[in-house]
Amino acid sequence: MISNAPAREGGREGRSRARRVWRQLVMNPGAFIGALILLTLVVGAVVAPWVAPYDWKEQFVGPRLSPPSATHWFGTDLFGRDVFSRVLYGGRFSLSVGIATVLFSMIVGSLFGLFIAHFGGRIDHVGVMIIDVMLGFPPIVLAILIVAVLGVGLPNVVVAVGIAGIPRFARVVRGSTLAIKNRPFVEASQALGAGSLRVVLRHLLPSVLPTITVLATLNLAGAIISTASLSFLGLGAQPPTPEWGAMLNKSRDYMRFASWTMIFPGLALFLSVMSVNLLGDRLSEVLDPRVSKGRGD
Amino acid sequence: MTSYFLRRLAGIVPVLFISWTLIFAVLQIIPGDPVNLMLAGRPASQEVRENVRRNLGLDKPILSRYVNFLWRVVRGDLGDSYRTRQPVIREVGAQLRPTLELAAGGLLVGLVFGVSLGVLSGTRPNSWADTGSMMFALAGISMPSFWTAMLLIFFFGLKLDLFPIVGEGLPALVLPSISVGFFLVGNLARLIRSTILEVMTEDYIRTGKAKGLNHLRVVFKHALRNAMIPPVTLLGVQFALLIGGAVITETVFARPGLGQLLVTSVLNKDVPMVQALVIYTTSAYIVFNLIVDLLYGVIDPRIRDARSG
Amino acid sequence: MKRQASILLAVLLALPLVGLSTGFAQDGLTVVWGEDRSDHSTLDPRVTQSRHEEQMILQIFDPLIYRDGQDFYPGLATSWEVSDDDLSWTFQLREGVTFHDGTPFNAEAVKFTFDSIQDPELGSQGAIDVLGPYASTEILGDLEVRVNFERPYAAALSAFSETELSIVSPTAVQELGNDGFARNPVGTGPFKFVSWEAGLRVTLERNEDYNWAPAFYDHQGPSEVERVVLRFIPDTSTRVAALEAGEINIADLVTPLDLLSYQSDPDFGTMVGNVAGLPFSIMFNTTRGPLMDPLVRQAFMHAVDRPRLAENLFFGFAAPAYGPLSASTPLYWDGVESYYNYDPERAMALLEQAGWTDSDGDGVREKDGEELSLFFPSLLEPDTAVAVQAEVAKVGFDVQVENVLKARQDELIFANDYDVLVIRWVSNDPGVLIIPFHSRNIPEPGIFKFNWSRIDDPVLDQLLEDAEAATSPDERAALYQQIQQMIMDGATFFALHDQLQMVAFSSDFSGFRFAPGNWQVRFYDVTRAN
Repeated sequence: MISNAPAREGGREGRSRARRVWRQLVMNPGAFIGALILLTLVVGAVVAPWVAPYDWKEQFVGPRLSPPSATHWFGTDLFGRDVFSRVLYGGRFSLSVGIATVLFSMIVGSLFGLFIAHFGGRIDHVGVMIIDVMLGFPPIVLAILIVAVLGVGLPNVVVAVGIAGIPRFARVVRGSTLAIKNRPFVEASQALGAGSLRVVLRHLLPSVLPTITVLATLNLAGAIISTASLSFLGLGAQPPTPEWGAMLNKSRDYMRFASWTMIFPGLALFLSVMSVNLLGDRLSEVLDPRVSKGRGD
Repeated sequence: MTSYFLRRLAGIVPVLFISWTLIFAVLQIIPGDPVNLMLAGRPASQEVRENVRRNLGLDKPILSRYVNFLWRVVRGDLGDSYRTRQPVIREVGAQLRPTLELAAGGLLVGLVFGVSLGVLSGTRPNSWADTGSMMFALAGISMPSFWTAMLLIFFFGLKLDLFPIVGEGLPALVLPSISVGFFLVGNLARLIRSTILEVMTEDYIRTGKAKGLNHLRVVFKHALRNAMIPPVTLLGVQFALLIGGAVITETVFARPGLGQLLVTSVLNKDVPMVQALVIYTTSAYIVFNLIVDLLYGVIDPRIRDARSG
Repeated sequence: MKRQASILLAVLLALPLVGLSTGFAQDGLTVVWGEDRSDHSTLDPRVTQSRHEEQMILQIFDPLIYRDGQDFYPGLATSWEVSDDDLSWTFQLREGVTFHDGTPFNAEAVKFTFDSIQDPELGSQGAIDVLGPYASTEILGDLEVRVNFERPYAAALSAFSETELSIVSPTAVQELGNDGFARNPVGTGPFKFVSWEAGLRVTLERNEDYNWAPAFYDHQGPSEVERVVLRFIPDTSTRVAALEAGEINIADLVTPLDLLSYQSDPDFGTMVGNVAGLPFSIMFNTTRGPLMDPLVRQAFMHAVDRPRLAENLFFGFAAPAYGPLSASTPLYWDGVESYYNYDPERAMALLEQAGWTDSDGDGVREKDGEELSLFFPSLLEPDTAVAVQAEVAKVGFDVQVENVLKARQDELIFANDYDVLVIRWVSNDPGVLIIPFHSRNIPEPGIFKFNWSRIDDPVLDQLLEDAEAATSPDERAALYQQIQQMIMDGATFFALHDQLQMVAFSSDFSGFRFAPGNWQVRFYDVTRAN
């Protein structure tokens, strides 16, 4: 049940390995398409203030609920706001929230896993049990519960979905730490007086990096969906934020009269998740075959 | 064998205990005075408020509340909803059926299409059918379920008018089931394809083929059966995903159910209801996973030995 | 393999056909109402303050006096008279009326109903205000009662016709307790309560004994409708789709665009109710933050183009509103229309005058290092909040909208943690003004009241009390004009638009009728359309 990734050594070898991984990644058509789409969405979000034809919150830049046209590529919404500009800006919220969520899970989860494995014994025992319990909550239920305590809003959603993602990272890091701790050279260096945590860290990082990278990528897809779902349920982004999930929720009332207000934000959301999945698939093939098949745990 | 069962059973007791403790702790820090929430803005004299406080047990120290809470969880008595003032267990019971129906529908969609697509592409790797199936599966795991639901409503409910959007009975279950099961389709198809590819290279399959056995028969008799083992173990995870999907799908389709109850209870700060729903879903999930584990142990004794070691 | 897959597909597609037989087919007329809210918590008229709950309550109960439009009709009381000192109302009660549980309707039931509303254990939220300065009920005979007030209560006639003061079965309340009765209401009305499945539906059936319908209806005796079902479908597009699919027969709160398309569709009928009472309005919290300054409140109002806002949000169906009473409410004073008209230049000038300037050029004004930021928890009409937010942003307000449900709004009100809230009220009488403007109705922690502006003005309080007690129509009219003027001068209340109830129904039915206030729909008269 516990991941026992063989430790890989760092240094020059690591750098050439990274280059190899990168080559393997972009040579794969799926991953290439994924990277291309994701890059487009990210660049679109970054340069939105300069390239968006209209201000995302400016109302009545065109007639309300008008269909896609040359002046409004994705049409306009109930308030006459330009849907294309909003979708473009929406990437800033939806994508960064997804990334922030995964970073949160990754950092907290890794530290937790490292901590319990390092101290071992009873601490490890309780820690594992907490991980098991957290895995026992369906992630969205756990996230909703946390939002109930923290209140609604995008930052709280990041924390909520982030917490729900902690146990997976914790488990992987714990497993790797344990594996390294018990290796002879670590024990030897401990005997020589080197601080054990420092030794573990030096060997741990290269060892878990590939697994963590894959896990983070696969988690990113889920995090983007989860945060958008919470916004869709009204627990996340508040008006007039052009977060994609919130935009989709807004589009429901006028769906039959203005399907474009539903199609385009959804498409952006779908494409970003799909491109992350495509990259994650290839990454896991290249880096860590066990994770991709869902059998790592 | 029996001792393995007992050990596994005993193992979930602390897990359940910790999960209940966590839920109790989390709900202690939920903002808002429970008396206000219970009264829901009804004008009330100080005396009435004190009564409510006593009835909720809020006059007691936290430790005794905690012990009392655990005792009530064990007895299955989780108090009254703030909003409806009915025992929460009754309302949860009333909403259980629609959610189970939805989960069953989603599971059916997921199994039928997931297995078909997985087998289709796994047995013909690199064919156009494989590529198509895998693109479909990729869409399945990448579509947010609320968007799937909206598209289904838009095209099949509004434009083509093929299926009812609300209501009861099987017709009204079709679109929600697809929306909740689509993710599962993608997940299972991908999983089954990769396990089939793996299994097909194993010796006994190659032997079977060499003996001139029909290709399809080999697939069904040997490959598929072995390929199904990993997906079965993942059913626990799938169950969690179905519950998650139900939260969204029930909201979009205005279906009653546990998911919608959870969302409205959170938004309405109906603490006893939230508490009950979270306790029931997590406990069910934990027990469900245990059952799957045990079944798996029965199917494949190697696992049992490895895990109990 | 392909064949197997297609068989599976065929089986799956055939499933709907199997299901058809399980759909319930009933003889007799069934009306299914698609309801836009799903958070009903009581069907007790004495407790509710929700127009949504009243939609079902008024099918189950009868008031003493019925009202249709501006006219009053005998209900459970056949006649009534007021004492010379305006303190007592004597009712002759209808004979031969029984509650759905068989309890005979009599003076005892009336006394029980009104007395129990006063009991804090019941926790009445609406009826307690409607009952006004209630003192007691005396039983004069089996079918004769006298209701006494502490002060003259000019709105009493209107009050006795409100759904909240419908008469409940005393035996049922005693048997079930208040909470039990809330879930199993027993009245005398044309429909009997059958069941309530939380979040799914409420079912009523025809009261076969009903032969005391008020005279304004088209017929007498039991309703032609055998069953009334309320389906909870909060999502608007789903509700409309359900109507088109025939799964419900009548839907409330459809969107203006749907309404437009149904108006030219022979398969559907529409009803638009212009709701009397408080229009859909903003209340400014005058006790904290920038809005303590009347100049800032005036600036906020001048920044919003109400006619355009109403047109944009309702596609021409709703009229803009200007004062604390909607134009369809009795004693509406049209002087309100000259206040705070759209003038962004003026708004900006007022803000400058109040010391709010945009020194850092980010579009939001500041004063003493504080941003001109307002917290707007929005419970109703999220679109309106977004429209207002964008309008006032143009003159330098930063409005933080948070979509909330009632429990969160209650918490914020108790904690005085909001700058702006929206309010609306269905009422047929200007007496409603006492509810959001009298200082005794300022919310306190744990006590939910409606003076959300938290105005504490003894002069206004006195005027409101005088108006409630005024019995001469001229005096009453003069007082309510003065009150409306005072509220406008105080710049604490910002009316946005008339409330609209937009109902669409299948043209297979006719006879739907708005209850007074034009929100709820009465089903008693419904028949199959020819």
